[in-house]
Amino acid sequence: MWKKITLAAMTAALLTGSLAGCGQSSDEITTTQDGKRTISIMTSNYSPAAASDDAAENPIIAEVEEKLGVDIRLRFAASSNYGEKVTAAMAADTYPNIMKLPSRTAAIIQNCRHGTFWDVTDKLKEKNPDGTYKFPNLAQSNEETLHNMSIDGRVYGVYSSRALGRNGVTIRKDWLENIGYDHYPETLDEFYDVCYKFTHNDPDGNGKDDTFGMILTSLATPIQVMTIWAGAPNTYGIKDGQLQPAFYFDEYLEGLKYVKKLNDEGLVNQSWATYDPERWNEMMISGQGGIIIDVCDRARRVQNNMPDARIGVFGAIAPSAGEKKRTLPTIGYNGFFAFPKASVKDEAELDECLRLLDKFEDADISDLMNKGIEGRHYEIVDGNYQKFKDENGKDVTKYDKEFADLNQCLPLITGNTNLNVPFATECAAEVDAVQEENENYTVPNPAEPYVSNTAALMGTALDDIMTEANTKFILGNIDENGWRDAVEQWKKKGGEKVIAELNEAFLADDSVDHETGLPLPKGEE
Amino acid sequence: MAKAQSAAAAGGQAVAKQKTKNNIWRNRWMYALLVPGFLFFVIFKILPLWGILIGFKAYYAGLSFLNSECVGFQNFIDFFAGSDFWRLFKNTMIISFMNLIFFFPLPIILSLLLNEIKVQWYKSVLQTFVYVPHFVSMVVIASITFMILKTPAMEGQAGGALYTILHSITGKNIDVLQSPSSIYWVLLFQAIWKETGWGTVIFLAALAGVDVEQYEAAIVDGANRWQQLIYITVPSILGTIVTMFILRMGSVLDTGFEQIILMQNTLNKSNSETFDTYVYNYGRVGGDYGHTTAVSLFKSIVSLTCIQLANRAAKAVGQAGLF
Repeated sequence: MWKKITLAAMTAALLTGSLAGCGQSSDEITTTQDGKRTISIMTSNYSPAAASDDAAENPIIAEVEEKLGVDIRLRFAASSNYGEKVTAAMAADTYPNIMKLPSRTAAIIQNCRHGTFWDVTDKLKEKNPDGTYKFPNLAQSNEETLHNMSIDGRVYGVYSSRALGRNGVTIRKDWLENIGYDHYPETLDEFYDVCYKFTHNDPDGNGKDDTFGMILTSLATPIQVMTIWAGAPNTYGIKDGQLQPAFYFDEYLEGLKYVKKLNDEGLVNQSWATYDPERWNEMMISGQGGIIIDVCDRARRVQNNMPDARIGVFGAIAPSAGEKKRTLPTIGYNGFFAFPKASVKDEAELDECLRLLDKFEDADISDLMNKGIEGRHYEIVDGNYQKFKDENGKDVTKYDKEFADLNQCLPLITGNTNLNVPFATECAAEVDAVQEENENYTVPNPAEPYVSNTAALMGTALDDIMTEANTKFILGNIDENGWRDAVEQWKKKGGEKVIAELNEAFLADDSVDHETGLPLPKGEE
Repeated sequence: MAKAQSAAAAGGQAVAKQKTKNNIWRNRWMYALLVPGFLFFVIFKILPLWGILIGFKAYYAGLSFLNSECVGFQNFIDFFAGSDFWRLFKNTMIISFMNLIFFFPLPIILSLLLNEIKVQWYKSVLQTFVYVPHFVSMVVIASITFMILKTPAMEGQAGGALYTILHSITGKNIDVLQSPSSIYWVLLFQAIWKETGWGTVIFLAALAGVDVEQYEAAIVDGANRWQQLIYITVPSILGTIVTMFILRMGSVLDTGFEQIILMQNTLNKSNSETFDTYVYNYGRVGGDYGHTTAVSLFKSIVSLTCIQLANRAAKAVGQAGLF
């Protein structure tokens, strides 16, 4: 008898339990007992245990919530399967108030188009009646990045910023001085000259002919960078008011010929076409090669691995003296914070969410969320930030988990901070400066915002045609005609369709100037 | 005359119907036992079939299903015309057929070997041991694989055990985990290690059913152990082997998903992306439900066809087949 009753009770409990699970819905913005507004944020975490959002447990959250008058609810999901969690939240209609979207997948683009998320294009630079910006920090969003993340010319969130000028050239500064340069190369000719002298003028001064100029790998990016230096557009350019792939431009072939010259004269490593990019540093650390075209940050890593050498970094190169320097930019963002209409009911609530992200950019809040609390997580020594270390002198303390991954809630658009964080090496400081300087020289990809269905379906197969042709041309396996044949092949295999699809979206987008491909200035008043 | 006959037949049918009814009523509790299974199939297998409609719509996670645009066969056309299809097909076929050729016979061979052991306690212990890997989670197996195959993180550090062995034999740095072509072999060896022992269960059961008298008769006739194996044991379990083979054919496009996702990385993705992982990556992660439903539907149709073909082939060579 008892058995039966227990069984029935357990079944009932199980059933109600699972039914309750179905009842989950999107978060609502409400006011707590102590007058704080609840706003939930869904973002990714990289550390195994992300920070707690409970003010009682986490003094950082307590301080931030106190300053902003907001009860922050964090919904962390592991970065390794963050995309899956976002899709699940969208499918089950269980939205947070602020949701970080990892990238512009087909599903996300469709959702933006169909009004799942608020359009914030005009919100970011909205002004108060007195002419000040409503969201002064968000108003500083970079136009190029906003354009890159736009969908049909509209912006559906606050981007999570990454350095646009991340690409740069790592170079042996000590070698450069040994061959008589007091500055970094600035034109293609100078760059060639440096490669030549690195190979033939014994830059390491050991009396042996054991060095060469530049280290290339099977990675195609450095070759693309050099075509851009030579004046070619970034991935797509504009000709006759239409988007055209970069290799339709004469400058692109000029760039390839330039690389071919470096290769033919032995100024780069041999058999680079099969050289594993994972081993890129090796040839530099062993003192053979002197130049790597990659991200600026590589300079810092190389410097850490060879403390006796002096590693420098520079960003852009001009096609010839007197012309503007050029560099390949990144897309400038890594995901964006969107505001679902299911959980953010009206414009007033949207303003609340935007204000929260705007406040996160203020120096005091951003420092709290990035570095923690002075006296608990770090101290100021001679005006410089210095992290507390644990009893063994290690850099990780037991309080670190209080700010672990809180920076994943920050848009990082302004980089405001009150802290002076000293650089570990001279090189690290230079990396930072070059990334900033690069933003003046970026060559934006005008096709970045547009999506070609064909290109998405073809995957990398189309790109591979041209990558292969470029490599073969530089190595001399095919001549100029052979390379042009590859372009024809690219066209036939779907390239022409891709161009047509991109142009259809491009021409329909009236937020850009169709002559230059640059976004038109947003109508302010 | 004819009328009378048909009337008689109708009468007979009526009687038969009555009989069936009585039968059902008499065994009603037996039939009641059938209800849960019946409901299971209706609720979880039949009713969700309407979801196939998703494959004919441009439907993405988060959007309204009803308001999504109907695109007819566009999802299928996109999939077959895109460059992914042949790559997925190739990978799926390679992984599946390597499994069929190298893995499928192993449990049979192992169970024949086990069957020849006459010391009962030794056989039982051995059987228990070969079952163990089946109960180890795939995640753990993937971790073990990483551990024994990893290359040294830095100069002077030790690599994994298997890496070190390969290194000392060949003198080369062999990075199995990152080389696209070796992923097939890694997947195969993992499957063999994990499932061979467990796979013997069904064959051992079949072997237990073989009539002992046949062996006795064969021994009298002077057959040696090998001849007994070839002429008695194998023919008696052939039916089981064929059944297993037909079932295996039905899942020829099912490469399993967990194992491959765990072993997948950007370097071997060109060779390790199969239909199953593709559906996960584009559907579950990417939210492109319409497209991936079309892919799944295609997979189901192929599986059904394969089962049918294998079944017919089995019948054609005189085996019982499945249905």
